[in-house]
Amino acid sequence: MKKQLIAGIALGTAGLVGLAGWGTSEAAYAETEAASQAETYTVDNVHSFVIFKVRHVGAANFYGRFNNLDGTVGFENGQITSADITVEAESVDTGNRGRDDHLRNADFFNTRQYPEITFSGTSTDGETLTGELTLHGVTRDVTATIHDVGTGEMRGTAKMGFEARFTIKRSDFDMRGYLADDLSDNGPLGNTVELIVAIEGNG
Amino acid sequence: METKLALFAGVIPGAISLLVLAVLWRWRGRGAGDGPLWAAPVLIAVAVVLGDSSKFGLPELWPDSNTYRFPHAAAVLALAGLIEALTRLPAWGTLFVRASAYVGVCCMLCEGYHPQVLSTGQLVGLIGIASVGMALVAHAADRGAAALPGWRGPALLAVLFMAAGPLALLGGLSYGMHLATAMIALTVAAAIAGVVAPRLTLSSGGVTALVGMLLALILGMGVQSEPVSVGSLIALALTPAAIGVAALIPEHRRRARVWFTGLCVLGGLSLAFGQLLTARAQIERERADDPYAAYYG
Repeated sequence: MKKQLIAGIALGTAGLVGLAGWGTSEAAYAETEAASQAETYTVDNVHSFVIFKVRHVGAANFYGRFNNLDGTVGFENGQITSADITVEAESVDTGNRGRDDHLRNADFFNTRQYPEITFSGTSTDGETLTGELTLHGVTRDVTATIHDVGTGEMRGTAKMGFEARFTIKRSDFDMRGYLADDLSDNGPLGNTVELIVAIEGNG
Repeated sequence: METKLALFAGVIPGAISLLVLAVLWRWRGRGAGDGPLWAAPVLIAVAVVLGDSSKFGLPELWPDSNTYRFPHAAAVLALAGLIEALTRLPAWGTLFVRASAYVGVCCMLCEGYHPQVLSTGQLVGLIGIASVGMALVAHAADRGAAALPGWRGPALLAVLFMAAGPLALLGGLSYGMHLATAMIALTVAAAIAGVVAPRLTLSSGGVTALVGMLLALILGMGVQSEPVSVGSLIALALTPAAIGVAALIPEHRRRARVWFTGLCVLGGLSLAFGQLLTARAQIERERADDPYAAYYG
């Protein structure tokens, strides 16, 4: 009797585990299905970052970020298919109030005239995303490499994320302040700017 | 950058101005007439173009960013100064030319900020107040400069522009500083040349261009200002106009001095009020921008 009871419990437990396993594989299947469909994710401003790096007096790098951004990202079959990101230029933050004011000033971003920085990515090959970057009123084509694409879930909301890295020249965007005469990175402030755009999107 | 700016906005235009003014006035200013008045507005434009190119490179024909339109503003002001110097316009005609040039400067430098910062009403109001107010300032300063002999007029204007520099620095603003440097270079050169040629005056053209550049400086700094710089901006808007005109009008024209000083203070107060409104909007926006709201919301 005791043996039958133990066997019954074991069987029941196995059944429950199996049921749970079935549930898990169903969830995974549903997730794969969802990922295979074209979806639009909205940028989660709290968990997204735009970070830039630029050379200072040819000696060292300094970093800054933009705190406010929004937009949408197209996602299909685990790949980024499009991205429309808008960054509030006024939200530039380098950890120093005086320098941030100067960066907002006409010497650099001229945020009063050009309040937004936009990126509209339309073409992708899975590893890169090509699109138009509008900065300081000038639009140029840029190609970003895509890294760390991932998906997840938080409190019932589907999440996706990726990191885009690309490099621009300030001079290409008519940002002439504090540039070296030869447009190198050895001026008061370098010409080359490296950017990392780390996006988390809500489904 | 500072060395290059000092060289191109200060030393070189200063040396050119000193040479040209001293030679021209010594050569042409001895006889009857006011001397080659046309030289001053042209030299002012040269100083601004040199100063601006040291910071932003050679000017384009018509840049999209109004940051790069100072040389264009200087060209318009030089043209107004030339018209004034080469023609004998009646007082109302001169006032019209000045006001028109100042309207042009306001439009050039503020057009890009509409509608992001300035509404159409604000833009029209600013253009109206700034152009008419500064045209009156120029009128008073011009009469004062004509009545003052030799170096005194340019020296007083040089002091005013020198005062504008530290005021701007106190406000944490660097934008437009290169213009102040160019104006200091020119007025100091004119003051030195005034010792050589006592008949030298910056009236009938030079003052029009200089006051116009002061307007450009205040507009440029004003629109780009942050709340922290409001105090210095108010001082910047008020001090040169009020003190400058009061100092430039000769002693014996007391009634005129009181009137014009009053008008200039009014103009300065109007500009300062505009700055205050801009700053208030900024502060309110910053207060509304709670960085933690999105996270906890």
